[in-house]
Amino acid sequence: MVAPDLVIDGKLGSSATTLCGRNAVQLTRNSADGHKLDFKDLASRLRSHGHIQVNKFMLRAVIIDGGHPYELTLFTDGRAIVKGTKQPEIAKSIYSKYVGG
Amino acid sequence: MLLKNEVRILVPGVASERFDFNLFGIQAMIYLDNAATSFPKAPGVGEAMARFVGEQAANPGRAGHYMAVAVEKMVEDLRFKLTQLFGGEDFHRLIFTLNGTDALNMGINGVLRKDGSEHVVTTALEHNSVNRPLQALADMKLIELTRVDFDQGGFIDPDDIRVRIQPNTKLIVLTHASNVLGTIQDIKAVGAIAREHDVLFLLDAAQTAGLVPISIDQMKIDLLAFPGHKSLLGPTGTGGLYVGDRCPPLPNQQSSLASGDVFRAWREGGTGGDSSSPTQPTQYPFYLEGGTPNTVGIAGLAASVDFLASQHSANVLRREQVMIATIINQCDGDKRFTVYGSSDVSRHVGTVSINITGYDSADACSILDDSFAIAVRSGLHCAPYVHRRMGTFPGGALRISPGHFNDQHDVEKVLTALDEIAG
Repeated sequence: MVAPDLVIDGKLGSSATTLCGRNAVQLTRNSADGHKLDFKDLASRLRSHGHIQVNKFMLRAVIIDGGHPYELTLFTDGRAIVKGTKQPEIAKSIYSKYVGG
Repeated sequence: MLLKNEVRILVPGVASERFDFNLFGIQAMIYLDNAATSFPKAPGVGEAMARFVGEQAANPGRAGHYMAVAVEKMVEDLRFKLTQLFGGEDFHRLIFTLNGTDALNMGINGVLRKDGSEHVVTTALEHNSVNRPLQALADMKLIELTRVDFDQGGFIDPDDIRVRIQPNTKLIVLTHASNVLGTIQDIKAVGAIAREHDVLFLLDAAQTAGLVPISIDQMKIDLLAFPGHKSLLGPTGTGGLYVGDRCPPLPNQQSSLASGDVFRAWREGGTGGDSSSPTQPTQYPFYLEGGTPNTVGIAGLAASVDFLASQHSANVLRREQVMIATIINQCDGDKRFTVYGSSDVSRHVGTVSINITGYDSADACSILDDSFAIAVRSGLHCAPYVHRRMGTFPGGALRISPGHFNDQHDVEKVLTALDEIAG
């Protein structure tokens, strides 16, 4: 069997979108496992890092990281909006650090 | 030449159908983002595109074989129908483009000399597809630019445009309806002002083509830019520019460096005919249609236009206005919400923008998607001047835009969700 010339099998684990006109990045988890975030658990973990607001729809945390303020808003399906940056890499690192992979 | 009103595209007819969607396995998504692009597309669009790819995908105008001729007929038939729909005189002047933005760029860059001598009037209601090409030219001092403000309701006063016209004004660029506020502008009045002052008038019909009646002739429109994928219910990658007879093509190649009231070609290349000519043929549509057109998209758009011909456009617009009225009536006056723009839905397309007190628009948008499976759009909607004027910059607003296939059931769902989020 001849090996194909082109190997195109990439698959993104997550995606990042800079929000229209905003200093904010939306991170979307590309898994279809239906797993919902546990806000109660997350709130207790994040409380030590900054101010937390939580309701049944979202969890909002204001975090100072490296002297820079970020507002991290998490939604039940795992997506997040990181305000305080337009850089997807920074947003992803904030998410990884405080929420997890 | 097409005789005006020779055939009516829009005929009284069928009530809208309701469809159940299964989008990537997500059931019962309520799509209220039709101002961005319509969804679903008209019945038959997907099938027409698949059929075209499978059976007919030759290159129009490039050969005399059966398939090429059949595709050329399809393209020309749609060119004719769209010209009828918009009340144009000559269907050869209907140019297929990639989308509304492409058409607007073609129009703006086509008519302006870009030598610093000409003045353009536009408005604060415009989308970035108008703002950005004009601002870039102004920043390079290639044009002089005036941006007319709108009132709190979201309407341009045509007299505000009139008083800003200068002796060197070449072009007025105006949106037919705001993509943020949904407000329909008085095009006929602006067209009359443009003609009275011998100024060209470019209309951005992104939010109205296929929904609100447009008459190139009666509204004195010189250039009409429209997308195929919004209220025309066609696929993305389609759109058009109608170039009126006050915008002649260059008479010959030597004129390409000359000034004068001519329309400059935007993209040049193969057209399938007159290949011996060293430059672009100067007949419309070939003058502006270099390169292979998006025939797959045009096949889809042809199906959607045929579908629209079976609908009563006035009823569709009324239905959208009733849906918007329901949202405005429930939210306006409720301290938990702010509604932007006029509450007079008789001058609205199916678009309204709101904010929920205590919520950033992006957060509210994500909650509607995540917890209620409702698709709307947050942010600035590529219209920053609108948001600056409304006091919603940079946070933006939540734009709700029902379309052809939505109904009151969808509106009730979004209102219930908004009520629950606002608490």
